[in-house]
Amino acid sequence: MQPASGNHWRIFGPGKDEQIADAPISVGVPIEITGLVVSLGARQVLHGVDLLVRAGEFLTLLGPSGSGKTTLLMAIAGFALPDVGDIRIGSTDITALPPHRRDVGVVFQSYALFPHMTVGENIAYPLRLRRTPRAEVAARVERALALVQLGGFANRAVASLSGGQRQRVAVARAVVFRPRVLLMDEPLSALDKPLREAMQIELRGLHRELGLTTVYVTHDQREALTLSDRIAVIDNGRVVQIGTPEELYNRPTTAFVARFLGESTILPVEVSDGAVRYCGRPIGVADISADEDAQGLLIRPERLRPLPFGAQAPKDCNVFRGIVADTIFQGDSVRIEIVLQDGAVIALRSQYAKRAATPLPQRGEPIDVALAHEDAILVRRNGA
Amino acid sequence: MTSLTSSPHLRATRRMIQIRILACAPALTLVAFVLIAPVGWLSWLSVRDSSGFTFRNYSRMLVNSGYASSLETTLEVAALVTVLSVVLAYPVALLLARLRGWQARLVLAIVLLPLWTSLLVRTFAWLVLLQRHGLINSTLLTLGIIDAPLALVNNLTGTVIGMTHVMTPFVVLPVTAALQAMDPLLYQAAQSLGANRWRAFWGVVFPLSLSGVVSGVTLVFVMSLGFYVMPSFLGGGSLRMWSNRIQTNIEVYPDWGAASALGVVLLLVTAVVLTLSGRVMALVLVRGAADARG
Repeated sequence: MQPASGNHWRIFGPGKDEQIADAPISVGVPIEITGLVVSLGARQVLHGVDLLVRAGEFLTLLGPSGSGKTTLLMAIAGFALPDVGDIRIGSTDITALPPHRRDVGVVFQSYALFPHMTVGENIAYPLRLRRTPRAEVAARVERALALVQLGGFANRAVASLSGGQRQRVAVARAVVFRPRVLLMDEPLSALDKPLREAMQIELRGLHRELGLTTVYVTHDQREALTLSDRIAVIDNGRVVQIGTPEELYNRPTTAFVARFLGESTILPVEVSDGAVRYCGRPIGVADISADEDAQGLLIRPERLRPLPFGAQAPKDCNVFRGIVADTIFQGDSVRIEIVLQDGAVIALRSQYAKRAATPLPQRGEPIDVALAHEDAILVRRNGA
Repeated sequence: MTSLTSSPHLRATRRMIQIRILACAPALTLVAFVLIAPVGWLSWLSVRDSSGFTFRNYSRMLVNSGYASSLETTLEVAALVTVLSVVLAYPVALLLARLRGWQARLVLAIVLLPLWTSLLVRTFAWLVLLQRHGLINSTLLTLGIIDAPLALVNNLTGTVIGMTHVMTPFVVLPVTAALQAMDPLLYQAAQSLGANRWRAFWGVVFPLSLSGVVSGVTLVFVMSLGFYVMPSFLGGGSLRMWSNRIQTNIEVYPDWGAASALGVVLLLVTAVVLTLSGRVMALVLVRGAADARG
């Protein structure tokens, strides 16, 4: 991606678009999903989903396999018809529209490039369906290819492309006809890790350049964190929580969300009369106003700090005392597993310094760890 | 010889090839005995008579206009049967490719059932159905749809109906295979890009099933060229296909030389058809071939 400002219009055709080429075009429109219930065969997969995708935003549907995230995407694309509920794109109610009239660009997991067409023919396909003049088709195909850094690939056979190149062609084909929104179903899952990470950065740039409202499905939390403006965590056919990556990571409301995004340990706590207790001892938490069902204390390994054993507790910190069960060197950091007095195991992650002031705690040593009140998050323990 | 030729790897490879040739030996022997030898013998017979070498058996076909019209009829019947088989088989293949589990097995069984039934039984069954006072004519007469019985049998119509019944499965199977090999998401992709079902089918699904269609067409056309039983019984003697000519030459005038010449001509026509179909297939698969070229 060449993140040059002012060329987000590159895929658009000549003519009236050319005149406004230098002005940023806001093409994003919101997607509004209300009370969506979808069944596949006899099984209900989505149980009443409400979701607002803001204009121009990159929203990721994150969830385990079988959670219904792909079904939700296919409902927007028109391939899964809802039993109840409706979907609006911009001001248009598209609930009853067939897929081909929705004007939605879809990048499928397998890319779904047409093997009997060249790269150029694949990208020209949606334009030909719209009876775009021949000269304009050629120009727009070239611009779309340039956008995904495949300039000059128009005459190549699809079969001769690498996985990453196919992925780019699929993206080019999905945006060349100026769809109102862009949907992507785990588009990077078939690529190996380094390529996947490079493509994530490219997709970020592409989204910034095009300004298209994008809904992206993945089960990969890192991918979701890297790409998204906001993430909607889906579990068991429902949206469990929606928010920016920071909000979801720092303030998950359920144990499920906490476990799905990042490493976590969740300790059982009692909440009563505005006080939180763990094993009978009071715990200071960030937000006591969390709801009544919240009976889990989320501990992120990197928020724990090791203290010298028996040291004075720092201000505004909870101190947990335990025994080191294991110390694991993991390259950039060290993971220390600690057994607390009640038998629960919590993990601590600390930056690894080659010449640390204090030696690493060894297996079997007693240890104190501190968790700042503001980092102690209450979550609901039972799923959604 | 360089040291390469004696490398252990190369020796192992050679040994593998030797084993494979050996494993093919029974099949090759069979082909030699039941195909190459008889065809060679036929060709030899067709150019010999009591006085020695002759082209009489071939020149006869050019002089007697009956043979030209017979060849024309044969090609016409084969073409009609092929077209009808494809038209009938394609929707079945579309259905079959979409079904799973017991439904797929059921439809497949229905498609294959005719193949498990004796050809002769099927031929007579069609005779019963199609004849002047057969089931179809009497039903149509009773319903008042027609005033006089239709001539459905003892002509080209009956032959084409019967042969189409026999040949349809041979199109269903390769087309189904081609459709099943296709990523079903391609159809959805076409729709998401703005194609309605009709255009998605003709623009994406149909072109990708062409390899199966070409296989089916070739199979049916070639088998139809040499078909004998149905033209004899359902054609009622008025339809003279090439295979009937061969039979007459042997049974009526026991002229093996003439019959052999006819057989050789049929073989040549078949070879031409197969070559053409190979060319078409190469065109259809040209993108697939790019796959191999990388």
